[in-house]
Amino acid sequence: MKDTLTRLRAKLGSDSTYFHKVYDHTFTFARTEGQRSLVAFWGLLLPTGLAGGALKYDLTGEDVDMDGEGSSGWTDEHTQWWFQFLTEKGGKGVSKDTWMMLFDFIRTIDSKFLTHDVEAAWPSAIDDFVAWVRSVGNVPTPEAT
Amino acid sequence: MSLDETWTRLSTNIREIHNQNASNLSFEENYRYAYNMVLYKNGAILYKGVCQLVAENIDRLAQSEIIPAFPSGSSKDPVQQSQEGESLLRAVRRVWDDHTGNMSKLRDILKYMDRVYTKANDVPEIWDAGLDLFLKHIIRPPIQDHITSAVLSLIQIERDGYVISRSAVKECVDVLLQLSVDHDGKTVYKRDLEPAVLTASESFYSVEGKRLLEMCDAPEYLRRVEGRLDSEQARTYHYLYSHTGVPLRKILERHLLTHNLSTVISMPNSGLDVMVDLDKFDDLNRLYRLFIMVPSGMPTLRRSFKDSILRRGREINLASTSLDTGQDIDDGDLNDPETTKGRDKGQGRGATGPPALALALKWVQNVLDLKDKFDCVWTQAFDSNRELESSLNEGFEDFINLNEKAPEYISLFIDENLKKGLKGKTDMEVDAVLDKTITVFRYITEKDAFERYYKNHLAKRLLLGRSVSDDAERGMLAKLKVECGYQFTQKLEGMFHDMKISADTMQAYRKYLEGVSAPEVEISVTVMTSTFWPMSHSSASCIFPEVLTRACKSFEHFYFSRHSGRRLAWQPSLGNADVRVQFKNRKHDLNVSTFALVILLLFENLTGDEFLTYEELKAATSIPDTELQRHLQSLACAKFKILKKHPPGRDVHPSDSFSFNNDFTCPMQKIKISTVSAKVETNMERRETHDRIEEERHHQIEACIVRIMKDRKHLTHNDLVNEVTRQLASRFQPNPQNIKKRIEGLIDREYLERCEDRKSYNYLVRLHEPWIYHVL
Repeated sequence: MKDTLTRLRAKLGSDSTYFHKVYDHTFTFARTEGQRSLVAFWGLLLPTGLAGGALKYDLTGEDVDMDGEGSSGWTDEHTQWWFQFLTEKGGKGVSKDTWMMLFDFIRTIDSKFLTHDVEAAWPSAIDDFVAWVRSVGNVPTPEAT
Repeated sequence: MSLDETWTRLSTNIREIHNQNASNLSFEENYRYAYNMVLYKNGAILYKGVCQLVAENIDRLAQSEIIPAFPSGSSKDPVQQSQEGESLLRAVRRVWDDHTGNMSKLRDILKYMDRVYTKANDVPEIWDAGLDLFLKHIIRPPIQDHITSAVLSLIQIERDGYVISRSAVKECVDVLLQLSVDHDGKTVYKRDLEPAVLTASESFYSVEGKRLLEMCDAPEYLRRVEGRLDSEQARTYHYLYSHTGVPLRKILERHLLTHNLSTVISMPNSGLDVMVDLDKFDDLNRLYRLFIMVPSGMPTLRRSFKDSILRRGREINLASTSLDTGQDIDDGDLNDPETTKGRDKGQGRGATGPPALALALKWVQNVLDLKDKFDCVWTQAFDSNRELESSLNEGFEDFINLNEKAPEYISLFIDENLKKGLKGKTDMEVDAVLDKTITVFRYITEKDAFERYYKNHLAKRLLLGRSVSDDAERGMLAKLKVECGYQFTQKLEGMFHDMKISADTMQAYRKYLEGVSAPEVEISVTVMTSTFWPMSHSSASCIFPEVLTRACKSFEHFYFSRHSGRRLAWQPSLGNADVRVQFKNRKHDLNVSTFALVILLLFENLTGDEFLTYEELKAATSIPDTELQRHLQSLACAKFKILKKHPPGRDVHPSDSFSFNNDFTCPMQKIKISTVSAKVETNMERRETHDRIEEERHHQIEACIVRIMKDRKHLTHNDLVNEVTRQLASRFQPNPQNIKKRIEGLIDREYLERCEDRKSYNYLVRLHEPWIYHVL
């Protein structure tokens, strides 16, 4: 049993597809426990995924124009920002959509949030998060076009 | 005859021709000399000999005619300069005329030579040879240089405003146009003179452009430029070659127009803005005609035109807000917490009195006047140009929508014009004003806000019987239908319908009363279908005294006998009553609101010494605080004090008490006690309205999204946002972030789902969708 657990933990950390499956399912599971548990589950899952590479910055299939700046994506620090944001501004609670899309966001956003497109289909909670991170100065605000 | 003999005789005769003594000669004789020479194979000698003679003659003429006519260059006086130039050019022409006259005669004589000799020997015919010789001997330095500078100087003198001899120049130019360097190559004019003219023009106009800019104001500048354009055109026509006109014009356009467009149009104190101010249609028309000659003219004009509108529009907006904040503050009682409380409850009296309404009406009138003014400029000065029309529309749309109160103001304006008792306007005049108002209405982007205000204002007009005429109302409605579609007017028409039905119902009710015991109070009822009218569903109500309840029950009994399955909810906040009140002196007929009536009735059996407290009144009537205070104010604090307030004052506080004012007097027997009510919204009311509009918009956006997705089944995020924006454009401009939030809401409620690609959505089929129908 212990071996299985160890194996599964390793798999969770490193296998993207497996991680995604577990991650998606966690929302339904956690929702019954209440809003705060979502944060707790994030706290469990995200570091594991980041450390093991399941949440590795992955731009295959993206037509994003990268010029080196802001490469290397989401880190544990970003996770902390996300929790901070939720505490300050996340009053309405997290929707399933936001939960699901956060996975993709983590995997494709650059560490300085330069590539975020506010007019694309990202959930508004994530748009608000980017705006909040910029407003507190954690990342540079891009020049207005 | 020997060759020498022949040639000597012929050459002598040729010299005679050159000396203008041709009349004494025999054509036939000379022809025979030439003929013989060619026949006996002496064509070369003949040809060369003639050329030699011609050359000599040309040189002689140049020496005697042209060179003496060189300008001395010493005079600075333009008149003298022009005379000197003129005489040179005329001399050149004279020489040319002589030469060509001679050549023509020689050509006739030497016809045989041309036919037989020149062709075979690949030399030009004698006429052409003559031209070549002229070219070589005359059109060379220094003669040619003098010719060129004479032409240039005459042009300059004429540009400086003096008169020159145009024919002299023309005649010389004609010469240059007939001489080409190669036989079918460029003319001397094109190769030499035209470039010189263009270069001189370039430098002249580059200076002229700057000079005019410095010394002229805008209208004068334009006049001068127009003058220059006309004069250059005349110049080309009269003595330059027509093809020179094109590059010449380009020079003028570049230096006088293109370079100076923005400077001229925005000249302080005389530019476009000022011309519009002073209705200078001629100047504006000239500006328009000149500006459209160059490619950058129209964009510059458009920008300036629009800016002119925006500047004035912003002023109009400013004028309507400047008094607003001032009026919001009640004078005195600023530090009284109770007063502050009262204000927060929406009783901001200051901002709601006549001045606020006057501001609103003034704003609309100013906008209408501005539109008239600019329409005038557009038709009279700008030839109703399409591009300028769209700049005009952009300008108006921009500044009108900067004023967030625009929808309300326009509705108030229409309200004012549709009310009874409007002095001094005929039906046709009112109709014309309303037509104009519609053109301003078109510019509003928040048409749904307008709809809300219009409904409210219309409801008041109908219920209080204030419409000037049914026809005028329906006419206005028809206009709005054309603009906004039938959905907008459906509910409004329902309101009209209700009014008519109510009138019929009342007739039937009165008939019914003949057969039963009528209640003591005569009642007149308007039955409103709730979905049509802009009622807030929690409209204030109150406890009716017995006498009123009996009247209501009587009507209800009648009504339910005619209609089953309906519910009537009485709206006392909208009604009014006529009541005869006995005071010490006399009786007065008062017209009061229903709430005021209910309050008054509580004093019916009290003496002048007895009083009721605010709390007692509140308990007895159940009228909500805001309404209670407002109506007590109208009875006790306004012009006609039917009740006395203890302590007296302008505002009603929960600690006050009231008594009947038995001593009340007034010269008029009939008195209308109007409630202190807002025409223009207070800030609090505005916020409320705004919230309701936002809510309504959320529903509209959602319904739109569902409608689109149901139809298309699958759509990318951007396409969906664009389509929603497009479909709702006639009502308001949805914010893309709002649309996004609605989409998320719909995802949450499982109307839509995200696709794998994260960029698009799928419609999820549902078994039943009850809520969608009611919103659509």
